[in-house]
Amino acid sequence: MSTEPLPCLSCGAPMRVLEAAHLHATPELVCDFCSRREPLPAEAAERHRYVRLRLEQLARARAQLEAPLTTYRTLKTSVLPGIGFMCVVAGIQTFTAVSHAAGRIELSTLLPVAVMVGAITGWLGMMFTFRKLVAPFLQARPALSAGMPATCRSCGGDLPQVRAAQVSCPYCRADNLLGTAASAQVGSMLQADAQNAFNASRAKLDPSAFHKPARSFYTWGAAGAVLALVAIQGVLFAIGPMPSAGPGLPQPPSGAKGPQKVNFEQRSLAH
Amino acid sequence: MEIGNYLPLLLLPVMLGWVIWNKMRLNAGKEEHKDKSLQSFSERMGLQIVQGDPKLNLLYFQQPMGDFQRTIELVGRPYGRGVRFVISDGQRTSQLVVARRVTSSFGCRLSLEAPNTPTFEVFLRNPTNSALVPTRDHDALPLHEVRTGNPTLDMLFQVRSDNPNIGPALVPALNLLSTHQYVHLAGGSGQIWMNVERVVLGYVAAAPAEYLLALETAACGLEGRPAPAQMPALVPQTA
Repeated sequence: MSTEPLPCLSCGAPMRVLEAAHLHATPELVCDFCSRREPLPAEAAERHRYVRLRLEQLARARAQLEAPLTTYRTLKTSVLPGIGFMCVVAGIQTFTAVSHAAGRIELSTLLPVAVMVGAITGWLGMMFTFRKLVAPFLQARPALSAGMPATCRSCGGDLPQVRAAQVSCPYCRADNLLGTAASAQVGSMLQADAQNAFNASRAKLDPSAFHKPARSFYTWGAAGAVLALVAIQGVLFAIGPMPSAGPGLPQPPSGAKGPQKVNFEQRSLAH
Repeated sequence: MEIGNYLPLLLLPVMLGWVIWNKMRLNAGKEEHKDKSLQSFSERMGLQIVQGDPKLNLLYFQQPMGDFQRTIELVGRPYGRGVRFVISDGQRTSQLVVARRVTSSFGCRLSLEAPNTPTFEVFLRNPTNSALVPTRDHDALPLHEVRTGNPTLDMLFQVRSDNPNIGPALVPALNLLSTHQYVHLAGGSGQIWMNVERVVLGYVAAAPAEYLLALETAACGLEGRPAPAQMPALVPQTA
């Protein structure tokens, strides 16, 4: 936060400000060369405290705004194992339905297949919506010039120069996405950044964007499941009645209408 | 081959995997939110743990199985005056003749010493969620609504007190709380405190220093002293 280095009174080396343990603590200046320590002057300490308070408030406001992304992250991590589980269930169900099919397959027996397809399409739709609508807001601001660090999307502080896809801001703890575009297209990204800032100042930034990935999961999931059901129905209709693949279920006597009724009374009498 | 016969054998590892995976997710969540552990929480407020497990995560504030009684207590003097944070949580089962009565209790309070504090209570006029309505301590007292003199704050908060002049003194503290979704401030009997509901414990754990600063600022305002984190003139004021 400090831009002007303070020289150490013992050795003259630049001193750095130690991070304060808590909001109301007075930060210390420390010299990394001779280990001299001294408290920050009262006025500077008060300013330092005020900036820390602002960063705390900023972090909390950002956390509130981005809280819906927790649902997205939960879905992102939990849907894939769920799809695996549904694959097993759907496979068993389909196998059973086909092996026991006596002429035709009931559509309801293939419901797990539709749910599995729905989960896959929902997951794909959610990922697409996240990348299209939300990821741009999570991008770090590009460096002002080559060699300079990228800055935090939230507080504007310098980000650590790391080789990673994501970095956390040391000042406000915001997660920043680092793309290759950040270094390759500095000019256009700066322009986009300025446009984004302008849009945000004009209240064009849609806060509901953070809700959309999770909602997309349900929308695309439902659409996928319905389409899968329709497709299965279409295929079944096209191929017509299936030949019996085994002993199958007991067939109703010829001429019988509707489901076969078992006369339990007669059965018990027979015993 | 009847595959249905083998279904329980297939489902057993799936269920076991599900349980292990959920446990791993819980641990990952606790690691991600380790700043809300009691240890970190106390450090951020400059308090010491008197009672309670330092590893307890206030965001995942789970209750033990069966009957229990636990007290978490932090104390300190971060701004020079005594501060105390207490959580009292428990469950008791009474075995009656024809029924069993389970009584759950929970109380959480952050308080600081402020002698000669008038009786007052502050809460949000329109909380965004019914879970964000705090337990009021002074509802039985004949308090009246007072104005702070700041229309924005008056629209946000309801300040009730028996002292009509208390409003302006609370303005710096209310400014600090104006962006929060959960607000409760109460004063009287030589203390200023805030009640914390169980469902908002995680929310308060995310910003403990801000709430403590608000309480301290309220105490300073009522005593006529400068607040501890006043905004310095970062931009020179022009006449």
